[in-house]
Amino acid sequence: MNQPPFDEATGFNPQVAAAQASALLDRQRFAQARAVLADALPLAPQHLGLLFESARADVMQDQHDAARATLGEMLRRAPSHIGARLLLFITEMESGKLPEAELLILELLRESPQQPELYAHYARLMLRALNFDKASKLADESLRLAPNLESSLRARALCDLVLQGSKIDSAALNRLVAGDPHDLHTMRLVVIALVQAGRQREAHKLAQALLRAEPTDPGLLKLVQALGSSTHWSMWPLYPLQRWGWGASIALWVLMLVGLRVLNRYAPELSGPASTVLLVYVVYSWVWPPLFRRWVQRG
Amino acid sequence: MPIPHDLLQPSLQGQPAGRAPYSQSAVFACAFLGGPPAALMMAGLNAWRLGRLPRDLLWLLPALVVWIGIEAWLFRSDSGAMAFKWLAGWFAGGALNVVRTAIGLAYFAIAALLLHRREHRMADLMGLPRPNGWLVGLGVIVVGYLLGRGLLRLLLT
Repeated sequence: MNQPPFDEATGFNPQVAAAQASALLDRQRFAQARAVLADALPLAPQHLGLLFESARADVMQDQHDAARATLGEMLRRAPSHIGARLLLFITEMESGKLPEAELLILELLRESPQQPELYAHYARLMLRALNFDKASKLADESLRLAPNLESSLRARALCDLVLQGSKIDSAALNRLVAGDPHDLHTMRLVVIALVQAGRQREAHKLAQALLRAEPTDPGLLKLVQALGSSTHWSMWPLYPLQRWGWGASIALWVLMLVGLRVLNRYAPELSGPASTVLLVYVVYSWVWPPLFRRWVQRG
Repeated sequence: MPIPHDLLQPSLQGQPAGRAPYSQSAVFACAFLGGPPAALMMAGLNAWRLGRLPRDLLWLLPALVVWIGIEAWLFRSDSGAMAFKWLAGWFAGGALNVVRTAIGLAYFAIAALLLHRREHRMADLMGLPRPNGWLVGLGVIVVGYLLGRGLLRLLLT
């Protein structure tokens, strides 16, 4: 049970309320955090800490317009507030306003060019903008300034996952796992790496463990459902297509084309059954996975 | 060590950035059903969405010439006619479709599995919303089919 941020002996302390809301947001307890803020903000509507946590709650719940309005209000009164500017950058990035986000992060970087976290943030923006070369350089710069900083390692690991694809050979990811094997953010990266390597079963198990730790995360729930449906027994026949992707689809077409013609010429009695099996397989691979995924998501 | 100057220069101003490409399924379906012209059109559309059309034209235009060249060779030369006859021995009336699908899938592989693979991976990773490929895909397949017919008519006259 959360303690109310009001202390009868000392009176209301907005700093305490902001810290309480912040701690609740860290644990993704949005309803409780918003209740604390709803109690505290009318008593101290100008308090920057409370406004910041309110904007943070909006960002975390994808309410970008509300976050932008609150942050705009904050920055009118305290234009150099680093936290508000960084949060505004995240808001713009997550709502797809990438050029605006870039201007904000560049402004921050020009003021503090030795801040490794800012390079990590900029690297994530460049990844989002699909500018991989610059993202990679920024992640390296961030790591150069702070070789053991988690956000720098995460930015580098994310770049590695995009650039390397199915090969899981990221030194940054290895260091993150070695540093804290139970960190949820790191484990999410590992799930992504496993999915990209075609190791769906391991990814599914790890994602399930993560969901147990964070049962309210809708993104994680969706991921577990998607991985669960792709590892269901009815998908076993589709393993080659899941493992080797479109390359396997092209190979299947070549097999149908060449294999059936050869059969037709040298063993015509097998040609009919073989073409039926292959046709059923192709239809199954196109129709069943999306149907099953929808069914799982509804359940 | 100083911070590289170019890193702190804006790179997203005045151009569309971060637009997810049409999905690999959409490009595959177009290449499979619409042949080389449809595959090239989808690859071109994705290159445009990703802001790399000038770079990709360096392979898209030669790829178009290669497709036309292969069909011209099949229908306008003796050695091509022999090759086509051999193919027709295997695939009968579907020989030309087989050739076109094979070239279309090769172009799909170059575009979606090679040149744009990082962008596709990133779009999946970040959960970027993909543009709806149904209408565009249908249009591209129809235009691809018509272009294929037009080329065939031109080569056979």
